[in-house]
Amino acid sequence: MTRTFSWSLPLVAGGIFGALSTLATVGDPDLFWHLAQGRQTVTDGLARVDTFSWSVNGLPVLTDQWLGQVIWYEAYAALGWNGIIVLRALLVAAIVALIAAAALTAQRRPIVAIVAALPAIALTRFAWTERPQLMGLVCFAALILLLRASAERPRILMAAPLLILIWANLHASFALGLAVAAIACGELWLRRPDVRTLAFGAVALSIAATLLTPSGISIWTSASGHFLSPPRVIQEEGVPDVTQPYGFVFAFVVLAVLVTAQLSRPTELREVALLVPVLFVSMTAARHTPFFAVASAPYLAAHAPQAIGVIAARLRIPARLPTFAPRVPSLRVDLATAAIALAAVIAAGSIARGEPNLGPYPAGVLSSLPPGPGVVNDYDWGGFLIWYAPATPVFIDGRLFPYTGDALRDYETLVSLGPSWREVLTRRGARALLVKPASPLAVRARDLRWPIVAESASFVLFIVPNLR
Amino acid sequence: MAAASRPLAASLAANAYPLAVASAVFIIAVGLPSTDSDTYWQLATGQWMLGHREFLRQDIFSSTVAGTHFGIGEWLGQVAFAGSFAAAGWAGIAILRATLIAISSFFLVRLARRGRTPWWISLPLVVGALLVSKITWTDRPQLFTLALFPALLELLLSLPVGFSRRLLVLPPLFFVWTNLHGGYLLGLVVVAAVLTNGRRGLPLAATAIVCVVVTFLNPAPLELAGAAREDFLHPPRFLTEFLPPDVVTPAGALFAGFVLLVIGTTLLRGGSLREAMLLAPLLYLAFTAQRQMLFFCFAATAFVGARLATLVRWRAFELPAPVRLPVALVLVIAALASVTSAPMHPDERAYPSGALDALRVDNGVLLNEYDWGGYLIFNLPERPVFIDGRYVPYLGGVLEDYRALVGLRPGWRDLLDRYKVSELLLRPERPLAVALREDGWRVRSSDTAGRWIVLARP
Repeated sequence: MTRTFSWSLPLVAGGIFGALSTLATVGDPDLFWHLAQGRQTVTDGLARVDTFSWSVNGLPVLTDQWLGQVIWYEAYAALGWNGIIVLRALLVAAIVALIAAAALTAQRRPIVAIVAALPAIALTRFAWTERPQLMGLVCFAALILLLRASAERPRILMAAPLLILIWANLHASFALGLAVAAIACGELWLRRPDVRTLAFGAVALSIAATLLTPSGISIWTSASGHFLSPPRVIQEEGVPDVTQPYGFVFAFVVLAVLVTAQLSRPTELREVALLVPVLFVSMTAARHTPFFAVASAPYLAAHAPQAIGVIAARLRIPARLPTFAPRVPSLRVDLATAAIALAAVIAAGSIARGEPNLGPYPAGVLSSLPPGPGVVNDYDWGGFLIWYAPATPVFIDGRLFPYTGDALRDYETLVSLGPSWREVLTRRGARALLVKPASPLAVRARDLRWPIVAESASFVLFIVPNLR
Repeated sequence: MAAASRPLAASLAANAYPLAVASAVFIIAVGLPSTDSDTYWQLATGQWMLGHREFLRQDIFSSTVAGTHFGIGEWLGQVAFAGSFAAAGWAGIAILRATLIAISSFFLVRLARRGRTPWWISLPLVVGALLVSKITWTDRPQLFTLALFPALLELLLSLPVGFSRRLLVLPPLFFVWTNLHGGYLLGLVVVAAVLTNGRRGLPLAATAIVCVVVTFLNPAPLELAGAAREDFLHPPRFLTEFLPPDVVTPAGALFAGFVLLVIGTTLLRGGSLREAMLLAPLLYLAFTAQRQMLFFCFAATAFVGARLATLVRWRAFELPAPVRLPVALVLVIAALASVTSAPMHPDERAYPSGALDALRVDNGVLLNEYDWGGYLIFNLPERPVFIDGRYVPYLGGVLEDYRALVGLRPGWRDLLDRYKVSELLLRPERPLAVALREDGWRVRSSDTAGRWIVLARP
């Protein structure tokens, strides 16, 4: 049997980008609380109520990313911070390899496929963070490849429920995967009456798979919350902004798809079913922008050359791709490439600078922090404190959803110096403030000459006097 | 006479549908009261120019940038609004607004009907595009761009190959547009996009060059272009209309619907180089700020309808031709009658109207809320404002100082002293208002609903 597809090129691309990703230091604000939750799950079992804060202590928390957190923690437990870098590099390599593979399924010319995949790879760069969402992106890239492949071999769809099962335990972005899979199966159901049972079964099993998580039906709460009312106060949940680098790349991809669609031959409904819903989701928040880029890479790989040809002809530039005889390397070459890419990524991750970059965090305050509840901290530093100062429970942190309601409202009143800020401090029994020096709360506390325990250019720790 | 009336009747019959929609939109738009804070300073500027018969080239409204150069790129638009106000008060503003939106709707329908798109496809597209544009139905010179953009687009897309007498309309259109509003730059982009298609020949190219030349015939050549470039490259994100499109808002969701429709239908049916050249830059522009979304949606209606008609083959009921014109004429008459429903007063609920009496007594430099600056310029001319919606004159440091003050950033006390602020008109929840109340500043006046507070130095 003749091989028609080789993984060598995707693996080479994945290995290169995976190794390159090790140059970035660890330091995502949410990494620390994910690690803490992973450690808690491994050592004490899955916690369903909050144990890290003093503002929502004992109240329910989301468990939708438990598997992702455990995997990140196990990587840390095995190799320390270098374990985190290695895992991140492996995930980046997987994303890049899957994007390149999907592009290659649509375009047999390797260079064209890789060039078409580059915008998607560039956009995923903004999601190369040490969090379960990176695993969600791997799952999404895998799903796109799977759905593309299923157009000719529908039986591949039976892998979708397994993928969704794993995804639902890793990260809440599984909801997008399920929706895209359902739409693609719907299109297949219309186009191929002979595989309707298969398409229906794949969707039904995928829906059932989402319930096989510790969260049960409530797994959908997190997913729908993010989608229907993204918390815009958080930068990554903000609206895609084309004046930012990631937003510019996103706009470039959307325009590339638009212009390509205008100038190349019409496609089938399947392409619309894959691209249009994902584009809408990508427009909802900055963190979702890579999804459309990943989904559209195969389309661009297949059709962009024709569109470029039309433009070149209009400009009277002779632009014809040379004739190409595809050569597919053997399985042995693929395996050897995989081994080399894996070794390169692991080696690069192992020798990388492992220590996290604590520049954005108040590392200098740790020795001065009072133990026990009562410290009101900046939102961005909550995860850092959970990991580095476990004796001092936080007021708020990047988990966000447990705080939605009174705690978040009180926090906003405090940091923005709302009219009832003193009442909030008294009611909450705050003993200290750990805030950024330029925040209105810090400025006011300094005006009022509240005692300062520790400070630097990036943080200040005040003792709250008795306000009663 | 009879021979002359026949083409008119034919033209009216052919435009019955656009006329009917434009009339219906006029009836809706004329009943809306003015709400935008920028209307006030635009009106004040126009009134000054009308009263003094000269251009207002420097700031006379603020205490912070008094005497500094101020752009006059929209002078004709400001004069037009001031003239309408002088003629009929706030009702005149509403009528001018409704007229411009109706013109926009008229050409939008003509765009949407290109390729004989059936009404049940074109009408939802027009309604959708108008709803997206609703966020810009503010009484400002930008309304002229709202009207002229679809008119230009319709004219360009219906041009025959080679010379056409309609080309002669373009230079005067750009001459007027340049003096009305900075959106003329977008018009030039559209002309360039149509020109690159190359099939319109030398006449359009020559006309385009003349259009570029006439845009320099205004009292401040390049001034508007500079401002527009800044808005494009560095949109002031603290202003809502300059925020990127948000698909979880109604207008943003509609915009997203247009994007998805364009891409979805193009994937299935293909498009053209001309469409790509037009829509791609407009889509990028739309991504930069909410206020730009409408241009993409307007242009999209010219192409999406015809493609949708090929995808959904359904023959809906069409109003017989002899009935269309009477229906349109009835709506036109209704629109003319609706002029009487134009509101005589603006909607001031968002403004501190109750604070005006307290503020009439001059107590030194007043620090006011950004959004209320225009309102104060118009309603309390005796008190210079600290800042207002013109924002460009304040970019040299005043805007940053204002934000540092109201946000209680480090150094706020020094700023308060440097500007010799002795009175505040702010929202009570502003950190500065909270801090100064605690520090003993006197509450001279406050809103029972908690929307504003006037504080004075103790």
